[in-house]
Amino acid sequence: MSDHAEAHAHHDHRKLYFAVFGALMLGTILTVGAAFVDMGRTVNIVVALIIACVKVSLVGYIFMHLNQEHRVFYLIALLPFTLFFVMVMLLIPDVTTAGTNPLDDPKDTKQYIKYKHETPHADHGPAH
Amino acid sequence: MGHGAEAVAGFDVASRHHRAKFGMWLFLASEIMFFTGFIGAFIALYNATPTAAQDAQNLSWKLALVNTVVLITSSLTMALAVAASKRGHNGQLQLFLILTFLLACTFMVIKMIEYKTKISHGMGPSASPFFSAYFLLTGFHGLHVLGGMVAIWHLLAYAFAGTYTKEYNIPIEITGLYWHFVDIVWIFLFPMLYLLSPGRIHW
Repeated sequence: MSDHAEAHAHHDHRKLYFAVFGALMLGTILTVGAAFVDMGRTVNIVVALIIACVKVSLVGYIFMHLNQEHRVFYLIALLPFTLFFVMVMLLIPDVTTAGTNPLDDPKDTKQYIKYKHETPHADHGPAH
Repeated sequence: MGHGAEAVAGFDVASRHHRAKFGMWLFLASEIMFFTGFIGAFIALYNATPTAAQDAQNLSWKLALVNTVVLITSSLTMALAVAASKRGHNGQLQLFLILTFLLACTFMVIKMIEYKTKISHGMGPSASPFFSAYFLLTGFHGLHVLGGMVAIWHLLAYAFAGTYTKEYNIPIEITGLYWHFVDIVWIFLFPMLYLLSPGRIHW
């Protein structure tokens, strides 16, 4: 496998690194610029996420050499990111119902009071 | 390491190289999940904080922008250090490692300035759930930067002793992997913490 090391030695990646650096700077400027343009909350967040993902992919592929490595490294890196996005999406119900409180429903408040005073309650039997 | 060791399967340089990278990638995968948990906490806490938009506006996004530029540049110098070590240029390797270390110091200094101004204005970790999550995320990221700085210092010491050659440069490569991961985390944290309400948009 010494030819693997020699292949690295023969390809000079430095120009590519500077190009990626420029792209990352551009992405940073775009991120800041997009934050000042009001496109609605969802669109702003999605745009910021897309730009961040592009920047992260550049760092991962080129700085961390994922494009040259064995497939296994790419899979090891991909799985946590997939789980990360799954987790973020799982939080969407939490985000969209922010500010609402199910306990504000008078019916449920009565439920709490009923727990102490034990008045008969037709709807919620052995719910808790 | 004579011929006896290499006769055993898996102890040649390329296999050890591969295993070292594998180990570092596994560690980075666990660190991604580590930050995933806290980012999830931030998302939930941000939406549970009525003052979140105003709190986010109090954060200095300009300082954080400087920090972003500093960290991306440090990623570049780290990649150049790895490339120099693979070509066997010890002088360039030392130069780029020193540059990376100095940029990391700059990042920490700016972060400390940020923390100091926030805390002295009463916006500490207990000011609101948003600030609690902010200090949590940036604090752990800062600790990761400090850990990376310790590793780079270690590399520098060995580089000055001439340990790294064209054949043996795997510690620099895996430290580079760690450093790029730290940069990746900041690339996500910067818009998430500082750019949600930069002062123009009120959500």
